[in-house]
Amino acid sequence: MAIKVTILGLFIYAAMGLYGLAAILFVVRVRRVAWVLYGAGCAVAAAGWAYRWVDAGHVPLQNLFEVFLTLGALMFPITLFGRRLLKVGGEAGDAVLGLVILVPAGLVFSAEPKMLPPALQSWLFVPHVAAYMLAYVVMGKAAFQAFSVLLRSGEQRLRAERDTHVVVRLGFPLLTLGLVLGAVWGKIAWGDYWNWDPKELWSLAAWLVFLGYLHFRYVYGKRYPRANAAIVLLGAGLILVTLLWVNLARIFAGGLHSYAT
Amino acid sequence: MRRIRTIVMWLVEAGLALLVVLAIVGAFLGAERAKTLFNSLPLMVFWGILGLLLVGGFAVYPCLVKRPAGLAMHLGALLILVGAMWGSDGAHALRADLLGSKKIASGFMGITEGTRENRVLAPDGRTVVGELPFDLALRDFWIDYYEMPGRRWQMAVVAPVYGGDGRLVDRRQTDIAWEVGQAVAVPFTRAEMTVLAYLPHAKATYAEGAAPGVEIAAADGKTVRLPARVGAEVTLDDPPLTIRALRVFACMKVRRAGDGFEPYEAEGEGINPAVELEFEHPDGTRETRLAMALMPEHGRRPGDPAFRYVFPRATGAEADPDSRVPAAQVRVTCDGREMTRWLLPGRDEPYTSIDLAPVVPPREPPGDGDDATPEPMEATLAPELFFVRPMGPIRDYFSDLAVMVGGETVAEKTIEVNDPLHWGGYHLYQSDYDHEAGRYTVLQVVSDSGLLAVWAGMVLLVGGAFWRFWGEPVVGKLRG
Repeated sequence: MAIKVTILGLFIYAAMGLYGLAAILFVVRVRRVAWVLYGAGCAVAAAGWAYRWVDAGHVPLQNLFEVFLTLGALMFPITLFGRRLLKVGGEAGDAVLGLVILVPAGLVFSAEPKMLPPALQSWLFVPHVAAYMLAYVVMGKAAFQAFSVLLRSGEQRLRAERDTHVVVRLGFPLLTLGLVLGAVWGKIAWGDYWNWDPKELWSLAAWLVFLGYLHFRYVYGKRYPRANAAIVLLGAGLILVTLLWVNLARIFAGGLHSYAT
Repeated sequence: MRRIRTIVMWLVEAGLALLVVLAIVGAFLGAERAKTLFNSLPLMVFWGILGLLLVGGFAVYPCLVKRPAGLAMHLGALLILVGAMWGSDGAHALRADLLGSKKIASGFMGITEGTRENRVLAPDGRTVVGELPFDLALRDFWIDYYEMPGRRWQMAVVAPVYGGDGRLVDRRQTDIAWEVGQAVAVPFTRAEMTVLAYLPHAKATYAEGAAPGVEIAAADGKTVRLPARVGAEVTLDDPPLTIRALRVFACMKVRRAGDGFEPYEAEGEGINPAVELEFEHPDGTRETRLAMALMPEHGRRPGDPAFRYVFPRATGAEADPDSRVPAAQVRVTCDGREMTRWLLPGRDEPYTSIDLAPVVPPREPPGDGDDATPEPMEATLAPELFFVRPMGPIRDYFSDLAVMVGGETVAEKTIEVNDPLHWGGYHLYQSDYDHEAGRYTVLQVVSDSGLLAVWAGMVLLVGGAFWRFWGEPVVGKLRG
């Protein structure tokens, strides 16, 4: 954890602050101002992204810092896409996701090019991480919708259930792509497309839960909205475990993904 | 039919749920035990059932076959399942037992530079699990480091320690903190060293007649030196030959060309300076030879005068802004003896050294020099002074491999981490190397059985998913 005392750091912290305020305002329903702040946060993040491009001399998608910065700026377009084209709401959750996504960019990952060990030097590194992070953001949005299903009732519950379904369908191909890219990279770099290590297994479990959700919904439709929501929340929970716990916990002894520690 | 569909779907859901539970259990077990679990017999039955469910799904849900996206996803999943099972360790063992197949599922190989190998070993590094149907020759191995620009090169001393029987038993080494113009003690010896000059970017200068080149021996034993410079020429009387330097290489490698081989410049990919020579006989006939630093005997033919590539000692150094290496002039004194030398590394060398024997006499006791307490082992013989590149972490390591069948090279590739060689049904990965001297590579060998099915399945799965959930809604909207 290190605070970035740079211009880029300022852009990121400002965007985080704006996203945070917007989230609060969305929740208390001061929607106009919330939208303005949310849009401003995106503009600041996008400005930071452009600054990074000029400063580094390459498109900012070459390392983890840049991937998360990009996603932080993409959050607003994703919300807009959801509203306009998918007719899905959830701005408050999206603003929170934007804030959360910028935390690693602002406080954890180094902006400087790292001397990566040979195994991490592959052109597949960024696509694999980017696909997964985009998928996680979308599934996070779906999870917020699933929460609404549990909190609401009647018409609103059914509306939230429909929204959940739409967003899961948006994110599922991305989740599949991330999984497959990881396998391809594994084969090229490590010799095998699957190594049964904890990170792979947790991400497989998450993928299977969403797969199961899609089959369940295919058969039962909207008949059991809370069951649908529960499955989605389980999937999102497994995504959280994949993301957070595996890299930190020593419980899951070893495995290829432990190079992150 | 509806009842059958319901049953199939319930089995699918149950199977997926069970797989989720197994995956979570596997995550707690760790990679090793999870692999054993998922390759065990009960799980093989489970995988088979999943495969059958996929096939059954096609039979029971006709829309799966009719609509391309659904078909792609489910067919893709089935292909992945089948390909993975076909390529599993168990399947290899089964094919070995039932069909006498010689294919090895996976293993490791260790090859020393300049040798060939076809034995595949288990992870323990000793048990032989099989032999490949071809040989792998390691022609060269090298490591690339991240540069630490701006950092100064370091000085170190290595003092070998020999046993009573004269064999090397130990090496003591330590860094020497240095500043230009400052005299410092050389550890493990009674010597003192002063860095007289340090040029951050330098090139070697050689005394007349002492530049790198090819040393050729005439029949009477006298040697002539042909400088490593295009167009240089020397004449021998016995045997009567005019020898010219046609080409000069910084690092020469050989590749196939037509029926034979041709040398090429592979600068930066290792260290093998060489000169391509032309021997012209008095009758006008000409032949070419290669004088190279590594494996010198490969360039000679019977009847040739003896020749070899020589690295002379540079007598000096001068600043050269294009140079990527520094030079340091050191003066070492000991017991009244003195020597002054330049330390000049080659362009891609990680270090260079000078022998301190001229000033530090043999049998110099280490450290205190107190003869009253003789060491049980013979004391240090000549120590060496090292000039070492400040190296960052390893960036990559490379193995130049040749695939040989019946003595013929049929394929070649320089592999690195993330870029394997694929030949004969196997993938060969750069896995590790000997960390001591960097002359030995460790490769991981993996069978490619079932790989094509897995790749095809993955493409279908991802493509089908994008088409179904992204493509179809867009197409539907466009159609109104």
